[in-house]
Amino acid sequence: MSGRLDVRLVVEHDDKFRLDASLVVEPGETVALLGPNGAGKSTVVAAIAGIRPLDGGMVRLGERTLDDPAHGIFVPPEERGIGVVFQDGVLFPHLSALDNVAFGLQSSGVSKAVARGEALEWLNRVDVGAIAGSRPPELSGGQAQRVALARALVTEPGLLLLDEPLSALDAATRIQVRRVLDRHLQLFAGPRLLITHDPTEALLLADRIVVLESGSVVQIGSPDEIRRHPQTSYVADLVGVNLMRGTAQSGFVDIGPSPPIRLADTDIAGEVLVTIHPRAIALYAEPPGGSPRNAWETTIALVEPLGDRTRVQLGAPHALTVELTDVAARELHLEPGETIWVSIKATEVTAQPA
Amino acid sequence: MAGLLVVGCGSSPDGDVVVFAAASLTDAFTEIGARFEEATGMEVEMSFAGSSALREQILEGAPAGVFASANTENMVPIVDGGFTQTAPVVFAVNAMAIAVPAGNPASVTGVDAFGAERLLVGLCAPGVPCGTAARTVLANAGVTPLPDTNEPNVRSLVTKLEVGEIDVGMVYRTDVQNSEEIEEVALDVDFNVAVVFPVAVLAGGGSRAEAFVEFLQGEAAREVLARHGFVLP
Amino acid sequence: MSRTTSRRISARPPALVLALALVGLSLVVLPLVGLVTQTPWRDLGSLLTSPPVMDALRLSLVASGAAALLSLLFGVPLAWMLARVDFRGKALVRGLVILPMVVPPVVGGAALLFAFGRRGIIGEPLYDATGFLFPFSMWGVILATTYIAMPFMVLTVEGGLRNLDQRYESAATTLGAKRWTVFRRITLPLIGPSLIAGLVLAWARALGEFGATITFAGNLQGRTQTMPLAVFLALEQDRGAAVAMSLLLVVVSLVVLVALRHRWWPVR
Repeated sequence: MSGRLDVRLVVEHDDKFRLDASLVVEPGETVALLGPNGAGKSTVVAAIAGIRPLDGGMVRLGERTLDDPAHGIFVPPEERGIGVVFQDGVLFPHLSALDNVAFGLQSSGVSKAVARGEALEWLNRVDVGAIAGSRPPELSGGQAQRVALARALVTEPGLLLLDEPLSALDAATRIQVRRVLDRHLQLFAGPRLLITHDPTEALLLADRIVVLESGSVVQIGSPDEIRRHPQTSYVADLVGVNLMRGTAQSGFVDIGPSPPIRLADTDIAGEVLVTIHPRAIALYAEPPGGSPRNAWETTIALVEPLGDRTRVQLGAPHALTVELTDVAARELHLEPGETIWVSIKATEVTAQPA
Repeated sequence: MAGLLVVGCGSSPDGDVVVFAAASLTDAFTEIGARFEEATGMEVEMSFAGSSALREQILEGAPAGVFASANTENMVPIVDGGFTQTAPVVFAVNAMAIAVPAGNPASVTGVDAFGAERLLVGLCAPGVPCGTAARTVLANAGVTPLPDTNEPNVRSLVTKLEVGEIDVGMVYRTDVQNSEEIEEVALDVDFNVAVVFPVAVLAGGGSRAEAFVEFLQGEAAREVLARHGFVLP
Repeated sequence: MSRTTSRRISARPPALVLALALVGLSLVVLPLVGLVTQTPWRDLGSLLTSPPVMDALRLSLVASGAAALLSLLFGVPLAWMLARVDFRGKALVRGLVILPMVVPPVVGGAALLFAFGRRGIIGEPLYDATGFLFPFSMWGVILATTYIAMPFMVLTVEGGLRNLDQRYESAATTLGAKRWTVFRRITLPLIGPSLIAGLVLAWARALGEFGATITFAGNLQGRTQTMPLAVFLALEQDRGAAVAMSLLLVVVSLVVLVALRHRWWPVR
């Protein structure tokens, strides 16, 4: 049942928008298609799912060609075997959660009793077995998304397609459901394609990220690669943040090497994800004074000019990426191997529960 | 019936004389009305419908000055209710006729056709003068009618004949004479009835309504009525 | 301002609104009051159980029920085409579908004659081939009332379909459901309220239909004389019977509308 997803999507919209993107997803791999709204992401979902036929290119899943306009091949969506998790679930409001999940099986001829049995198993697996009898309007955002995930997985699809699964949720629920997703994505053996505009989601859930800008792919790579070596300003703006894991306590986060990073938030505790934007980090030739609570001496590992800015990779203790204007970089005479002082305000360090 | 209703005056801002006339008088009265206007300069406004419908309207207080009915039965409650200004006068007499669409597509030969199941038969509804008269004629002929429709007035019955929707109907002699799209099948004179048309000036109609009724009995009007097939008293 | 005062103020409608609403209400209520005061209560029982009235009631209920169901059968696919399918001339088609609502029913009846009457473009060949005739039969009544009532069904259901988030149907498709299953298990249940609303509106309109029926189907007790026709003729001949039948018609309609009140008003 598991083959790779291989697509080249060419779609023309009436308003002169053209999508031309190729990507490959191997079985067992999670690929995130990352791009802001308007980049063409929903078109990608529609094209792969078969809701919208391609204008050019092709969609192949394993051995099957699902869409190939040049050769007149088009497999209708109901025959593609693609599990879709929609933004805000799109659960059928008139059916219970259980019947929602059973729907796919019943549609392929499985008896209601058997379908419901399997559906209940899946609902338990995503920890929402208790609300099996409830209707979607009664469910919380997080519960709904988990039901949607179960509904897509129960039919054992060849591809799992997730369309912005977390964007409709509030911040706290998002973290919760992201953990559920992370756990269950690993359990699905086929290829998984996650469509999102949230860089953190992509960085945390994906094995590889495909960055989409105005209908074209501008960079593909692992989360670390993309984060640390964005190839365009656009990608840098979108994804080029510093992201670390650590343990927080009383306003400090221990991320391994010393010194711990000081936070403005003194209440947060336990496993956290720490984000520091490259532009929030200041570099000084001399030890800085003033208010910033985080300051240490480090060496420069790499200096990368990137058109309108310069990205500097730092060495130990914390291998952060810093973004400066070209002018500032020149004034500091930055060379790999040189020592430099780093300063970060505690307020610029964001921590969220991991 | 409720007590005396306020009867509107028989003259309206739009016409000097308002005439309510039976549907079967449509063609004749339209012409007579035009002549009256020419001769006197007074304006006439006419309303044609089944006599029973007109009767009801007058009893409800419709502002008519003249009522010309297709039978005396409909005139009686008007007189009894005190709605008339002058006593009714018979101004025309009609007879019934068997009518078929032009060309007689169903090959109707006589009055027995009204009892034939295979034919589409039309009559006026029982309470309408045309319907009452037709049923008397059929009773005289010993025929039990099997109508497929009871039309609310003779005009709609004539229309159904003209478009060929029904095979045979009983209408007034004048209707047959005035329509090219229907033709007559002979009816034994012994079965026929005289349909008497009374006219009365209604209370509030005033001198103008009286003038119309007088004109109606004059030479010019009688010529028109005769031409349309009415028998004159 | 104390809490009680503010609550009371918000509960009372503005005087002008109240006044106008009352005038509107009286327009509807007063004729019914007049009807009730004119009713010959002593003779009501015998009037209502007389054969002409029973025949008319039976015909009205059968024809209006059939018209509602036929409107459902043909109106829903029509609504579907208008709401979901893109085709040229859609605006014209929608106009044509609504025409029976806008045109005087008598004109509708005349047009039906030209199509389905004995000399009509469909009626004539049909009659010549099979001897079947719409006018002067109950089928003619059903045809005329369906013609008049169907636009109500189409409009209501089209509205329901337009308001339906098409993502539900897309989701069902991705889960492997074929078109008929999607329609049966997802679309129909979700437009249920509109279907019922359309059914009730179509039925109510069919029940009161007069002009097209009398022009096309004719008037014969037991075969084509529905309640409205019977009332019309009885007004000139037997006032008491007319009032009794009017009262019956009003009561029957009210009972159905009130009983289904939660079902036919599509607002949640």
